[in-house]
Amino acid sequence: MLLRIVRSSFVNQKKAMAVMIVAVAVGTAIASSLISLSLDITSKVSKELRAFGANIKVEPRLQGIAEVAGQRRYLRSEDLLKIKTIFWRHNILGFVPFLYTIEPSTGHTVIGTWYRKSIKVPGEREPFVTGASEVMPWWQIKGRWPESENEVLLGRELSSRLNLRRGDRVELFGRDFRVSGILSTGSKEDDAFVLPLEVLQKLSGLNGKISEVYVSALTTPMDDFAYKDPEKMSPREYEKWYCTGYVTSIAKQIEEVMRGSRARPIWPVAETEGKVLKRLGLLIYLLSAVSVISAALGVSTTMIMSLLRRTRQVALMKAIGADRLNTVLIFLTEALIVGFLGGLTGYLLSLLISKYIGVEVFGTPLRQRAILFPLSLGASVLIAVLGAYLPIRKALAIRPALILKGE
Amino acid sequence: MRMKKGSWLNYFVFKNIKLRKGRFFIAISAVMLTVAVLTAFVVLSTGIREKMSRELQSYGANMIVTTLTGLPLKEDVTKRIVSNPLVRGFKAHIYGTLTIRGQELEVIGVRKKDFKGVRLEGSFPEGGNQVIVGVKLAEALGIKKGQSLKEEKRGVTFRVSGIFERGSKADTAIVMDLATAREFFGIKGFSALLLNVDTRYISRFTSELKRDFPSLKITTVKQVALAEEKLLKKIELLMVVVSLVVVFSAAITMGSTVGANIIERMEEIGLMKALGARASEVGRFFLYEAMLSGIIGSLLGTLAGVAIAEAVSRTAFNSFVGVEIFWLPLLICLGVVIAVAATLLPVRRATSMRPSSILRGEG
Amino acid sequence: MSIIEVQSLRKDYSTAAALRGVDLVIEKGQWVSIIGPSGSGKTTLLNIIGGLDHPTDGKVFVKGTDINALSEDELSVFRRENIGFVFQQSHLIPYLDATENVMLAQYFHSLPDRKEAEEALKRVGLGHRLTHRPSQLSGGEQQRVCIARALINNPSILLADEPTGNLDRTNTRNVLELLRRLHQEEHFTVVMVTHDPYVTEWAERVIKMEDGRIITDESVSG
Repeated sequence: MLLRIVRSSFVNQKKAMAVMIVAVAVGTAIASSLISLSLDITSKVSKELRAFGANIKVEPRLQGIAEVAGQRRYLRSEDLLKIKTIFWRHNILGFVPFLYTIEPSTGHTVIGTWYRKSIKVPGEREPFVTGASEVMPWWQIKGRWPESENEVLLGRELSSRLNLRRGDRVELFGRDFRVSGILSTGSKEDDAFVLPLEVLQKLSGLNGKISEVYVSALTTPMDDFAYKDPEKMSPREYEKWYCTGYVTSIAKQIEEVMRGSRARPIWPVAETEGKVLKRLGLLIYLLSAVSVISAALGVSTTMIMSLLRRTRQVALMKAIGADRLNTVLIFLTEALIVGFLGGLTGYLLSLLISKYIGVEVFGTPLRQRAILFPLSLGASVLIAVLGAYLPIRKALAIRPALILKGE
Repeated sequence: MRMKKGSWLNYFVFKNIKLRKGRFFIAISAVMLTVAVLTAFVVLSTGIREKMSRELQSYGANMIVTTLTGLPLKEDVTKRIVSNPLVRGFKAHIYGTLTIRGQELEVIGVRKKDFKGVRLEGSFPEGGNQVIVGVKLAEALGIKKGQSLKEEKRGVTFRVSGIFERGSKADTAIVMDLATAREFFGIKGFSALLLNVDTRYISRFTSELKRDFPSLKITTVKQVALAEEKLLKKIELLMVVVSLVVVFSAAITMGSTVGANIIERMEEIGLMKALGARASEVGRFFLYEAMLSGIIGSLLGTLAGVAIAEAVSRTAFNSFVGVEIFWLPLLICLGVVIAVAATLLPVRRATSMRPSSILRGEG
Repeated sequence: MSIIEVQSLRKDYSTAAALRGVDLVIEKGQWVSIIGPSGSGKTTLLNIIGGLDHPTDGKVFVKGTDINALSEDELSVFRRENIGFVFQQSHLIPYLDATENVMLAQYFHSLPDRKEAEEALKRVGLGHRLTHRPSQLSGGEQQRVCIARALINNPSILLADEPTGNLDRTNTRNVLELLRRLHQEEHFTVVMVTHDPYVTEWAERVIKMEDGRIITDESVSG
């Protein structure tokens, strides 16, 4: 009987029920997708922040005052691959080696590096693509990266100083080169010739040698613990520090695999990153909270508006002899159904919304968390039931005759 | 006394509002809620660039200004540059060299408050004869905090008050307080100006600067400028997309609240039609009420929205966010429009139905 | 002269036919009762005559106008000029008092006039209930307000759908006596739908319907 009454209530008030279900669905959708967003925002934005370039710099360990001014020591090319074997290897998004040399006859700086290099990482099926194009996205080449052994890239400032253009010839290390493009980076490469690393190593006789490596890694924002001096930590603290993806611990791990190296965080990048993540995360949390509250209130006002009319029906039921329990049961069942249907549609809708937000802004969908499904359903049922409870209680308290007469 | 037709409309509508305060209140709340969320998102979306770009300044300057001649920048030139509204922040540097252990070492003079994005063990140099040393230099020379350094050319001794690490070229340099450096090297003005310029107008700013001061050397730090603009655009886009989604849904819930009210009053609409009211005359009744709740709700909503935005901004950025006033009337209008649309849509449907079916209760 | 003329009227609902070919002519000033069991199509007929519903087929002329040819808005205007309704459920606006409910009808017709509305209520014997809201009135009193509302704009036709359906014998009698008095004073045409034979005693002509058809149609004297 209960079910029959509820069923007929749905059939006879399609519109009112539809309005309530839509309100619950939209409220749930928005709440759930914004929660998805706030849970995923830090990981999404920290990827975006890598556009500011590398956050770790690896250099040879210097010894003695003479080495401060003129570079004599080098790192080894063969160690580069090991960067992808450290504990936090999956957080290494890219690295670029640099070799700095001076062309002996002209005194121009010649830099060797990788622009877009595909390397095979042991134990990984997919090749790892890295180089300046990945780590330093602000590099601009007019023309193209050298494709053969007699092509060279020319920095913007040097090109205007030497009055050399794309396609012109130039002599370096006693060999003839063609300028394949003009590079502009806003830093020292602008005033240099740039060659593929391996080409320069051969030319300059510095086989297998590199001057420094820039590494771009996804890191855990620095907290108070992270700022402690690792050398003064207890073994347990050290282990915790080592196994957390702080920029310092990743640097430490890189230092361990690259012989004779010193790896240091690039502090302006590393610190700003943490700050931006914290601020932006907080902003999104707060906005989500505002939206979730507003969705809940919005759904409640709709429910109350819809159910004010219900007082009349409650009175009628009382008049035909339904006891309190029965009356309440009928309306609660109804609210449960509204909440369930609304919650379900809302959750499905939120999958679309969070995908839209993710793809539109970050190019990849937001991560879906399974926990949101029961959470959405539970919350929408709860709101529906609460929204129903108020008018029912009000109706039950009033003598039926008064309401039936049209008050 | 005879009243005009319009006054009677007033009379009937206010009578309704008076006797159904609860419903009217809920309608207003629904409008207020939507407009508040809308306002909060608009205010934050328009203010986010300013807030975030301030955070991003710690990545470093996006423009470096020096002179083509290598001479220091004059103080009045500096003042004119940094007073440009496109300049969001600036640092001044003084460069020089110290001769230590027979080696010329670079020195940077900087203000304490501008020395950011750095890990410092020890304290920033205060007063004369104190310096801090870059970690690379310190490691190479075996310099420790508290040690003394003897400048050989001028015969001055400096005390090392700290070792700093920045992860850049500065790690092989020595840093002094700006005033000390100025005095020590006898420089008037500054060696370089490090600016944070609004990234949207960076090329305009550069050409203006070149026009006004042809002797300046202006370098855009592409790494910072491009990445900054890209990130800011992305954050703005994020705000816009989220705002759209949230506002759209808030408008729907508000519409459904107002719509639920109309559904409840279907019988009234049927009766009015039976009494001979045209669709437009019925519409006028509800329109009037919707306008009232729309205007009151929107006014309260914009106020609440600004309050929410400020609260969020205080919490997330430790500062208030500027409100662009011209948005407010726009938001109020939008609130009224949504309220009216949400009312008139179901009313129009009802007035186009046959009165007999409404009165029978099929609505 | 006939004020209402109905020709081979049909009305199909999705599930069943409500009217299966009804022809009917009603003269000006007549009091006609339509009686029949529920589902006989009598209310549908009344609604179509009043322009509250559209027929599937057939024609309805009221005062010479083919009302099927009118648009929704034209129908509204037609109703406010010519027709007063009294329903079984009184359909009073709950937030307006008795006088204001009558004034609302004036409002849609031309201009509200409180005095005139109060006069109308006094004539239906509600002089002491002018400012009561519907919920504060008894069923009989509510129906009297409806009658006052229906007649306030001097319609030429009063259409009543079970006006006494919710009332007891005494109230029914009172309401009908009131209607008879007003009918005699103002000579409007009355078409009243009922399933109660007692109510037909007030009519000059009784039409009996069953299954969407007219079965008998007889004039009653006195």
